[in-house]
Amino acid sequence: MLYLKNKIMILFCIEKSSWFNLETLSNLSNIIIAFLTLVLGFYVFVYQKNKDNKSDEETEINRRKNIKLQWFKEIIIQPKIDLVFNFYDQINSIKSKINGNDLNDDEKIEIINFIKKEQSDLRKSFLDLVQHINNDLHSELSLNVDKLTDNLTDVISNDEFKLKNEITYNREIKSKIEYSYSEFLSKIFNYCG
Amino acid sequence: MSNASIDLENHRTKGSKVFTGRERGISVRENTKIDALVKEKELVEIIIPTDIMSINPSFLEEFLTNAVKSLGKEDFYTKVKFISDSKRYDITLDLEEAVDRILRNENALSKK
Repeated sequence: MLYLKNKIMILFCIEKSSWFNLETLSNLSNIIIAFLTLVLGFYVFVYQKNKDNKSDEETEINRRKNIKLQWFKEIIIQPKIDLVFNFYDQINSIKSKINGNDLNDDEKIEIINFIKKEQSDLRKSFLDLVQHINNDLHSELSLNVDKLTDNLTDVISNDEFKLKNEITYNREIKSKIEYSYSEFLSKIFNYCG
Repeated sequence: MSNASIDLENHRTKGSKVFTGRERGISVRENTKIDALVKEKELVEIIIPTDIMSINPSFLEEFLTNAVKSLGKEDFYTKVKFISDSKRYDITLDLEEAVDRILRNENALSKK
């Protein structure tokens, strides 16, 4: 062992008298390692604590979101969804009001007024409630229904469309109602609070 | 303060008998400068072409949004008058719907 010690001292050109310094260096390095371990431990502690806090915040946000979503379902969707189905049923019923290819202006105005009345009823009974819960969802749904009403108004008021023709009707009216309907439901059921 | 008049005949799409769409409402609002007129004039008359079948709430909402917000409901109805010779189209319900929507939206935004 002593031989090995001497060899190391020779190898690093350390004099016998400086062996004490090597021991000091060893102790010093132990202190540094201990200090770094302490710092690392403290860092891990602080990091974990922040992570836990963040996780608590996220849990709280999710909890509030879930409560909001639950209320949205129970107060608006479940009791009022039939109004949405009814609205689209009523809009689909305009097919029976189109009695011929050449509706006169009064007949057209009657159909357009019927659509606008149904839209207004849907707004008052359903969309206005949604507005209290989430303004962005309300805007998206309102735009959807506005677009449908406007498209149908444009088509019905236009003399060029022969709406008694099945193909024309399906292309200009039915497809637009179906698109609006699926988009409307999609927006409601994809709402996450 | 004098009166002002806006003839919608000058702002309708050629051949169309309806005013629909928010974009169209914004365009007519900007072209007619109705926002300034309701502030400067005592009375603003909006003339509806005789053969019009419908002026949809989507159009009216954007066309009148600033006027309704700046005047409030009662003053708006006092200051802005819709004139029409048509016996078949009555704007009353569409206008009420649009004004209601404007005020509801304003209320919802102010709560945010």
